[in-house]
Amino acid sequence: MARIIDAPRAPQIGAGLGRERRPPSLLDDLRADIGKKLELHADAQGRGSRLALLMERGTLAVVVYRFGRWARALRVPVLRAAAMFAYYALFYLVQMFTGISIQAYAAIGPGFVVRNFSCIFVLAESIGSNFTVCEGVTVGNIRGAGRLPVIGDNVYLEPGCKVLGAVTIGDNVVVRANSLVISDIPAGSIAIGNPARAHPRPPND
Amino acid sequence: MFDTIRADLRHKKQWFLSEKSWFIRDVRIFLEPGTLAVIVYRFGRWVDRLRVPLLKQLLTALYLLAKAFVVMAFGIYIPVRADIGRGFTIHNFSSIFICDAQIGENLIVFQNVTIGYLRGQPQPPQLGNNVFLGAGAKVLGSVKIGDNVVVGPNSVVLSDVPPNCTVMGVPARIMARETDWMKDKREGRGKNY
Repeated sequence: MARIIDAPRAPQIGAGLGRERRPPSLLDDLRADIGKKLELHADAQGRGSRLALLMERGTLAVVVYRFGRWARALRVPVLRAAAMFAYYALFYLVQMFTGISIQAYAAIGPGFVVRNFSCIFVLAESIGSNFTVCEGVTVGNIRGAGRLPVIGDNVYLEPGCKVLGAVTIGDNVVVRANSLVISDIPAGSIAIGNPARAHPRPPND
Repeated sequence: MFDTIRADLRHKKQWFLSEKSWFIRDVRIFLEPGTLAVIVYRFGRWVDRLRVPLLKQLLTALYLLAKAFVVMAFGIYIPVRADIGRGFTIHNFSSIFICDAQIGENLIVFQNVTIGYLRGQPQPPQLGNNVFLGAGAKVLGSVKIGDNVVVGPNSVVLSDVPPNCTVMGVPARIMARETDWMKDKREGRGKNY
């Protein structure tokens, strides 16, 4: 197990991650987010149940987060201040009603899905596309780490897991429920345990 | 009451907000769910000890409303029976449940922390001074935690913890025998967090 985490693959973990993302486009990203959510809930057929998915608390939080990203990137100062004020008000309300706190500082790629609600804190340096979080997930800071987590594409964080500190998670990683990730996870693996260890991900997973 | 709240706020500022702007330190801190919950809890403690008949009932009603708001909106539950010392700090919010435990000064709590009973153990936990409970930590049953203890994120403490230790894991095991960084930070020498 140690061989997987250690030397030979370690330099590749962060390859291509942490890059400067393109400027956020509100509607494109939102379309991708909602498309991903509908894809995850493929069993939800019929207009009623699909509409119910769009009214979910997780979707609401993602919409507000995208709005915040867009507001942050506005160029006109007055417009930006107004949009940021509206964003903070919405952010606080979403925090209160859903317990989901996704800060606009985190650059998250398209296809971002929040499943369920309550106790979700996401604050990261950069996160790739198709990122999924469940309830009880914290992605954030830790004492003395100096930088926030960097996460690749197609990462799934299961309920209750915590990703803390200056860690880098590669592409196609699943972090199992209630794990604690405080060291780097290579691409294509499953992280499990407290503190988490990386296991290779089975090909049919 | 105001003395204790001031001590709580001072500890929060010192620990989490020491490098932030004045706006965050002095204005936005009152909007943070954790601060609101601490203020409501201190108010409840004060009302609980009040001896003026009519005023007490009025303020109790006010307290219950405020507590219901904190529970519903932020998911932080701290009963009046919990005995928590000065410098109580909640960082973030949601899924925080604290039972009527004996807790010392300068407790730091993150989101998703439970301090509670365990089936078959009638006594609540006892926590010493300067205890740090990371995100998702659970302290359950009649355990005693000493002074200057750091409980790592997502750990479950089911047995006693001696002072000056870092514990981690499920169930929690001792990882380190010194927590000097907490003292350094509290006295302003260490800048990390």
